[in-house]
Amino acid sequence: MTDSPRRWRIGPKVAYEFVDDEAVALDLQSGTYYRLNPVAASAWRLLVKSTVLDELVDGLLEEFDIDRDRLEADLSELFVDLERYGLVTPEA
Amino acid sequence: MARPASHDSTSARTGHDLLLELLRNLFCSDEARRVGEEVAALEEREVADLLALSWRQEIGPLVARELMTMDELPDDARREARGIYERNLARNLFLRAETFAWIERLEQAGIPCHALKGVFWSSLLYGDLGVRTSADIDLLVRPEQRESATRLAARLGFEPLHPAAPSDSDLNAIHLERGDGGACYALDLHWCVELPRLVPFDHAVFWSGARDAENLPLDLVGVVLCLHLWRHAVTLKTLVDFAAYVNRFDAHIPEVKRRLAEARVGDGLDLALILARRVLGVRSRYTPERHPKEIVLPWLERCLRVPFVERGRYFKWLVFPLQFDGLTLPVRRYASHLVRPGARDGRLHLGSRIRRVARVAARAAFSSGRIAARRDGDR
Repeated sequence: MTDSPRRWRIGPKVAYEFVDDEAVALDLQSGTYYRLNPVAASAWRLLVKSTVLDELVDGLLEEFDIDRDRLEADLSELFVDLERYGLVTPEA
Repeated sequence: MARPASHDSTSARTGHDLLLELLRNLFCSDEARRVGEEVAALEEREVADLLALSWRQEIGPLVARELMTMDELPDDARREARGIYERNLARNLFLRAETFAWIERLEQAGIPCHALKGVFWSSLLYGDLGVRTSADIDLLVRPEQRESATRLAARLGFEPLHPAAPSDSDLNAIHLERGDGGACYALDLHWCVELPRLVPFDHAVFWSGARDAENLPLDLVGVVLCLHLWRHAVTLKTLVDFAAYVNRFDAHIPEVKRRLAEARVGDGLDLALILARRVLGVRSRYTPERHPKEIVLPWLERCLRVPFVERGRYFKWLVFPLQFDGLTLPVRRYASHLVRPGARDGRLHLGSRIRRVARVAARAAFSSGRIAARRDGDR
């Protein structure tokens, strides 16, 4: 966990829109779009406001009844996936 | 973008009734229509037909979004509707980014511009980026900068498909495409919102005061919408756009009316308001009770059932003049447009122009007859 990036941001070539409780994110370079499920969309909504992982975890804990460590691990895993799709990038 | 399966003429007839009911529900949900139950009673194939029909009418994503909200919709149909909506949303996300990029490129070259129509209308009119289809990026530049803008676009690979005389003062826009097919959209550079001899609109108002390129004042949006409606010969898509504007921004209608009346196309707004009320149930406080030209409305209502691509190339020239004020102005405006000096040599070329007018009139009449025959066939 400690090796995981502590800050993430939305990729510069990504456009997105929230649809109901989900979101659609488009990689503008590849033209591929992804549907984010409600949990991922909630994380994305927080990511628009803050890049700090701890703040994202705090925000999500207000929405979901889940253990903090578990949430942080899941969130890191989600961002690694999103990074693979080119949707987010880690910040130094 | 994948389109659902095609449909036969019988399903098109019943489909159009349901489609219009669905659209009325979109604007007048307080009337508690039973469209949800009707949709729930449809078989999967019939829902696919409805979506196909709405695609042909260029309102597929709007109808898909409406269907997505209906609890009664079968799961497979909901997935189909969601796919249509999401693909359009993704395309509009791309077009929005491209539009911003063009605005920035032009402004960096000292060419201010305004986004006309396009993806911004989806959010403005419907509050949803994904519901309105857009094929092109339309930008308005100052007339004196049209050639600079065209050269800039050419440097990025966007060239006119049919090179027109660049000095032709009767044009209002130029259609540019990437010759190598490297873009999935065309760029339309406008310097007037309509052909200047037909609609002599004072464009100074577009350039007065500081404003964002993507946010025209709402009264000018209304002006462009109304002119767009008649340019496309009152299609279902353009009428729905207009109705959405009235639904949201009715308070701006008097200012729209004033501006259009100055260009002597106020009849177009009045007829559009009456048609939006008749067909979609959208009521404006400024809809006239009566209008001398309302005799044409039943015909226009029938035309709404024929998608733009199926109307024939010249059909719009029958509908277009209805927006001009009075009964003689359409003839005078058409005459001044069709019998104008040539852009290249300044000569009238009366013989060839008269032949062209006759050809256009014959083809327009043929299209009209075909639409009428199709309607009789549907009966």
